[in-house]
Amino acid sequence: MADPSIHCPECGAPATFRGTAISVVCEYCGSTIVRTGADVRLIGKVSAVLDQGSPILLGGRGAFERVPFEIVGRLQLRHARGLWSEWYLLFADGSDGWLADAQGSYYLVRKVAASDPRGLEFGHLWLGDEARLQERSLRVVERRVATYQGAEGSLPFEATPERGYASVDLMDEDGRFATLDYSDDDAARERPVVYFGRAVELPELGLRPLRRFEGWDG
Amino acid sequence: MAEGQGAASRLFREPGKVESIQCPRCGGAITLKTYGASERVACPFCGSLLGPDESGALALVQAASRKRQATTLALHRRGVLDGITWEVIGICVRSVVVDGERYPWEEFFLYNPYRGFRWLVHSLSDHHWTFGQTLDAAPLQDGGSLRCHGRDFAHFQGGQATVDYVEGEFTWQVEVGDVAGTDDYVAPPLAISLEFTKGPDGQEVNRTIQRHIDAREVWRAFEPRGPKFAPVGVGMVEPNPWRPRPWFLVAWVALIIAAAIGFALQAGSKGLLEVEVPGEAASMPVVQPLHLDGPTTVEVEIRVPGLSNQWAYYEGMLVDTASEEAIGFDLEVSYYSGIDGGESWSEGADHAAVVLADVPAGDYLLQIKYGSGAELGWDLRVTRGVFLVRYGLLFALAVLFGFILPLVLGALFEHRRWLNSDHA
Amino acid sequence: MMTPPPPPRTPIVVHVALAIGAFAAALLILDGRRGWLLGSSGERGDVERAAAAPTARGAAVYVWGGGGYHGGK
Repeated sequence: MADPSIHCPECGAPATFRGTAISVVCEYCGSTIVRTGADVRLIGKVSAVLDQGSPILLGGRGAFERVPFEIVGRLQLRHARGLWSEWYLLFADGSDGWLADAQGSYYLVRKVAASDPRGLEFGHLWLGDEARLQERSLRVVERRVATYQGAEGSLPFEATPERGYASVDLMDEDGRFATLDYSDDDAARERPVVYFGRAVELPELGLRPLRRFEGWDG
Repeated sequence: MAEGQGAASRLFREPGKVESIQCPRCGGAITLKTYGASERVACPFCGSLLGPDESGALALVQAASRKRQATTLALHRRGVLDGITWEVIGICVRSVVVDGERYPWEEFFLYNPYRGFRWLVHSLSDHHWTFGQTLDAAPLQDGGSLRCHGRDFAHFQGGQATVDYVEGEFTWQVEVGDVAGTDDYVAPPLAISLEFTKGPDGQEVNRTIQRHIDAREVWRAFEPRGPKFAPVGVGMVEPNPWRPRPWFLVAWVALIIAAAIGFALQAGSKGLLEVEVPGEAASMPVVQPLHLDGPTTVEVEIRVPGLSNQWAYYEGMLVDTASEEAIGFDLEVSYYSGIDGGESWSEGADHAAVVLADVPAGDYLLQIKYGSGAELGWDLRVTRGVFLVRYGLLFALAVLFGFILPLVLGALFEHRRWLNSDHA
Repeated sequence: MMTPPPPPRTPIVVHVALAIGAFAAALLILDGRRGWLLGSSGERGDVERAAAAPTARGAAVYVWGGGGYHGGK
């Protein structure tokens, strides 16, 4: 996993690509490095991640439904109502997932096989509309076009700034959660990548270490 | 902070720091407690609103100059609820207007960096409290109800809530004057509140789930210095102390069935003796042997056929032949009737009975003799195992007070709860 | 998902009433036709053998002994 021969082209510091990560943000100089095969190239510097008081730390370890994971990357996104983070998780069984982190609410999702994309077009899913995913009926709770604010660690795609991400969040009455991600390549926003999961409470994940806060005992 | 990513990624290894800024409008000291998460900060002193700019720094959004209001809980007060410490970081006073009356309430926005956010809502009209959080689910609308996490929530009330006062930090862009459509659905002790605002993507819904919390629990946790008001009426989500638990209903129904079956299966009353005393021998004592198998009630009934506007009095004894101890009793039979101004009336009957209780098993001699009054022929009947109505009465009273009454009180409680709703 | 508060403890009086109900049911079944607890058993006293004075119908065998009482409740 950690290839000692990969170094940041900008500052020369060692760069670690975790799992099947495609890009890594250099810890020392903030440059985004992208790996294509054996080659490594520089994309550019990223904006800093803004402190939003999240108790989650990069490198934190926990477990979800008894499968251990490590937080290897983070993406911070901005939309009309503010910022939120998406933490990239690598599970012990080799799979990956995302932990959405927004104002004390957390949702853990994994990519699911693209089923019938009909009815999942961005232009057709408005607040309150229904969609059927993983044999459940979910309702749209949010739709947005977010811009990329900052990143840290390893990510499974090229973390370039100026990218705008359209996405739709859906939930059902039992706490199941889904995010439909419309990538940049999908200009018509018709074929989203589907992530499915549920809301989680932080204690359930047993994350360690957690951020420390002045005035609070961990 | 925006310099090197290296500095940033290591930044969060340091404990988050509490920041203090000066209100750009009034210069008051504002302490920021959410370590960067606030979208809106309302200066406690003048009410001016600040919001984060592109770089995250707080800038003036709206100047104001209002006086600070006293609220039940003060900003930055901490308390422990459900074993978790919470700090009041924001205070909001909102109200609805119903039939020209304004009903305000306080919302205390609570924070714990490891647990997120909560709300303590205190109604200023009826002094009931609820404790709530963002609902991480999208309830299913089913007629006038919501279905969520396996529970059904019935619509209680709807209205338009206006923000009247803000103080502190918020994770959403709140302003004095903001209006939101609200709908509350209840499944006591829980409730789901939906708040509707117009957004660029259509109608936005904010969902919170709340639970009933006693003022006592709030006071124990936060120890506020102000006065504590007694709650008025039944709260929207106040749990019903009379709500029949399944075991309660099962136990009483089982008891009633057992009593009915037990009663039906009892050996019934049994006649022991029937004697007809002719008129000529009316004054002669009747002496008859009796045998009782077990302890029982013994009913002695005397009937005087043809008794009309007369009375007759008899004395009797039930003597235990072995111990020569006796139970004494007497009977008066009286019957009067007539016609008074076209209406007939009657008083008494041509028969009378006495029940001797707990007569032990054994051999007895029953001795009854005419005492005084009309000397007519009379009939004697002696029965054992006669059921004493008072036992039935006692059970009926127990059923009334132990079963019926709680159900009635429970229904009354619910009625009082729903008086405050839109569906009274 | 929010933890609901613990349900209020059933008022003690409900438990007491149920106990009384159970007791009343048992009483009804076991004592209803006996009257040990709730029955009034009339005056009890000793008797003496009466002086023999046989009649056609029969004679009073006993008279009430021990002064004062002569039948009645």
